[in-house]
Amino acid sequence: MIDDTMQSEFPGVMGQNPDESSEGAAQYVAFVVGEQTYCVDIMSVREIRAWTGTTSLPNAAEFVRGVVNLRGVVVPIIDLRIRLDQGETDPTKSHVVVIVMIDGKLNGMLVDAVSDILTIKKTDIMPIPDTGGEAENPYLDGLISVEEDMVAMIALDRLIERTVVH
Amino acid sequence: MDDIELFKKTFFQECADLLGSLEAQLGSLQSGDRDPELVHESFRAIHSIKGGAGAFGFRRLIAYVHVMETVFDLIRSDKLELSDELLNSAVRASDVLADLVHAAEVGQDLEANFESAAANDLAQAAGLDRDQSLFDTLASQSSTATMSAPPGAKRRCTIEFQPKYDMLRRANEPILIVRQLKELGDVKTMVDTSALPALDAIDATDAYLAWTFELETDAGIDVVREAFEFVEDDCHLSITFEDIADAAEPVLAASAGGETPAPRAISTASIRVELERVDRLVNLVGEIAIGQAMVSQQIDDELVKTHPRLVQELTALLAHTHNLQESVMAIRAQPVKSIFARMPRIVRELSDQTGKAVRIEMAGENTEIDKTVIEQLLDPLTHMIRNAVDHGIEAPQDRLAAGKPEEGLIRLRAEQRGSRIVVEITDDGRGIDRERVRRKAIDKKLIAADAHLSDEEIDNLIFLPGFSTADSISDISGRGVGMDVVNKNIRKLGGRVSIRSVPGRGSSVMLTLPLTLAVLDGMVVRSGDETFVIPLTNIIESLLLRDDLVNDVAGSGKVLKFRNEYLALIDLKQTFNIPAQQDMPNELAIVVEVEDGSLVGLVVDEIQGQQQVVIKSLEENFDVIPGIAGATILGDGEVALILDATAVRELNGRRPANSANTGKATMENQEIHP
Repeated sequence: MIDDTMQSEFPGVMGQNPDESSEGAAQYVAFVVGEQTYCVDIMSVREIRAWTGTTSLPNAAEFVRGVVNLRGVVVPIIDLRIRLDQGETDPTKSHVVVIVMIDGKLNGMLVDAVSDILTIKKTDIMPIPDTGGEAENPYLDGLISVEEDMVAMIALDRLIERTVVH
Repeated sequence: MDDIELFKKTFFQECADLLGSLEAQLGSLQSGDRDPELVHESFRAIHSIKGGAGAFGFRRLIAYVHVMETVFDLIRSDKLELSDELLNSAVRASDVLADLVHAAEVGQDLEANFESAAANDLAQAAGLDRDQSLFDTLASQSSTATMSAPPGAKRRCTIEFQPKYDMLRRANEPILIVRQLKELGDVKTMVDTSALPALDAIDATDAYLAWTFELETDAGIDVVREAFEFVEDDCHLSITFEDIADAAEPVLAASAGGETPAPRAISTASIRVELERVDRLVNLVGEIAIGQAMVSQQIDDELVKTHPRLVQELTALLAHTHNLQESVMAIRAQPVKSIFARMPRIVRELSDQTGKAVRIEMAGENTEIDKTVIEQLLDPLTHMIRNAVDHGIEAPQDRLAAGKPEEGLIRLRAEQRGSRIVVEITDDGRGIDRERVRRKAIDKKLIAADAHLSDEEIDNLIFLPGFSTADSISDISGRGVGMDVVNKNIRKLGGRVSIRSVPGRGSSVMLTLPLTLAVLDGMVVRSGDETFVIPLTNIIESLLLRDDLVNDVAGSGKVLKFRNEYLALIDLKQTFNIPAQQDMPNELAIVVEVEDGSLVGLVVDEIQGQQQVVIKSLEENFDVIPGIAGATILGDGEVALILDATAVRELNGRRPANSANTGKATMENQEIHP
């Protein structure tokens, strides 16, 4: 018979910050690409690792740098700079890959550096204003003002759309 | 999930196996085999389902299975002859049984007399006329039992529970029982400590306490008893019900040791293991295989000279690792029987629905294939069988008019060919109406109106997305999902589908599937900066590309002269837009056999070696990439892509004039405007 106390040994990750979630606040991992700071929900982040070379994938969209071996699992790496239409990253050893879980799939985001862990209330997330420009960025979910700086929240689910060119 | 739910889940898993086995036995009996063991096996399957149903209190299921059990018990003891009529009834009864089990599993309420026709039909066929009420009696009993506990009506249940000495020693925990009771309703608990000795006389493993629970619940006695299921033999238990409204007389009483379900036969020949555990093992062994590759790369002549013993032991270890890997993979292999066995029922039901007479013959059910492949094979296979009955086999009068036997025949066959499994579905129906397929393809703009296609090419048009030939959307097949979905699913598994058809004589669909999705022997090659793995089973020969072997053919690119044949040469650099490196004079060609049996030369820069690789899914975290069957991790920890030679050829045929630059440009364009 399986002892039901076993379950308590495997607490769900969601249960770790009960106080904060009840106030509508959550933690976000902030990182830098170029001059801009971006963030993603900490719950979607699995690990952060240094950049290593990738194996390129034929017929993959340009923003997919290729795949890496993450302890036996093949994980695609997305160059966030290309995805956000800001050129291409020339990765060095100091560049960082943030491994995130998106819709049950592991993906790595190549960024310049991880900068902070932010605690943000849901109500502090502001919508992206309509700038009237045609190049509205579809990969951002909202803006947050942190000590005079603007942090843009990445829309993870849209980030991995159309990764293969058929 | 609490324990009971867990056990229930196991029960239904077992039921699935047992139903499969029952179906298989009945199928063999139907094909004329009268081996008594088949009857015994059927009886055992029915009996086991009944035992489990009893343990979990599925009354409706028990009542029904009881009829089947009775009939098979009579057959097994030679008191009843197994006539064809009886057998047919039994087969239909087993179909209904599967539905009942499913209903019990998902908690679905079937109509009141859903199963009575099948049960009575079986009882009648078995000549149990005098017992014709057998099922009705049982069924009404079961309904009274549930009647006495109408939903919503709370009753008071008094439970006296006194653990015996052994109960705690058998690792039973009374608190779990209390918790389970609490889930049923409000519980008032009274504990009797009178048997408790003085502190110094306490034996910690003994049970001294007794409890009386007063439970207000709308659950029936079966549900309450469930809480005590695992301790029933180790305690004194009495459960009494009374209605709260008029707390008069006890309705049902039961004491421990009464009608405990018969212990099920324990088979030591096999154990049930969660697939997840096997997968973990497979993954670990995969990692070991990668480690092994890393180690073998370190063995060089120098090491052989300086540390001969070490090398010797290492080599032995490598051999063991290889064996270990094969053994682990074998755990996942299962006979295709588990899905083949479901097909006769589908054919039966369809022939009833369509009014066609169809028989199915199966061969090679014991062919083993990876469990994941099996699971994903069920839907495509079902679809193709449905297609064969619905579109392939003609109506009886048409068959007679065409000089064929009235009964249509579908053959389902599996066999292993090298490292692949071939599953073939053949029908003797009308075959593919090529003119109609062609017209339809033109209508749907899948081909140009003036396209010249061979018969084979026309047949294979049905695999194109959006193609469906049924004129009316019938209930059976052709709801917009058609053979293109089959094709897609099979390709996802690394397999391939092809069809051959002779008008008026029938069609044959052939699936070729990889034996396992886990490992393959491959040749590691390099093209530009990229490393690829080519499955060894595809490779015929590798050779140096001498100038005199290569010719330019206008419009078709380069061809290679190979064994008196000219083969298409495909440069991987071109196919996958790989930038060429400077001075690369030593071009090599790997001659591979593609799915249709023809040969193709793949041009690469270097052969790096041969090794067994663990196949890693690209779809798990990414997506399917045309031309690529999967990925693997090489000895140095780098990811390499595994080529799908057939898909590479198709890729090349589709875009022959694609240079690296234009390829990249179109990609970007498509990406920017999603």
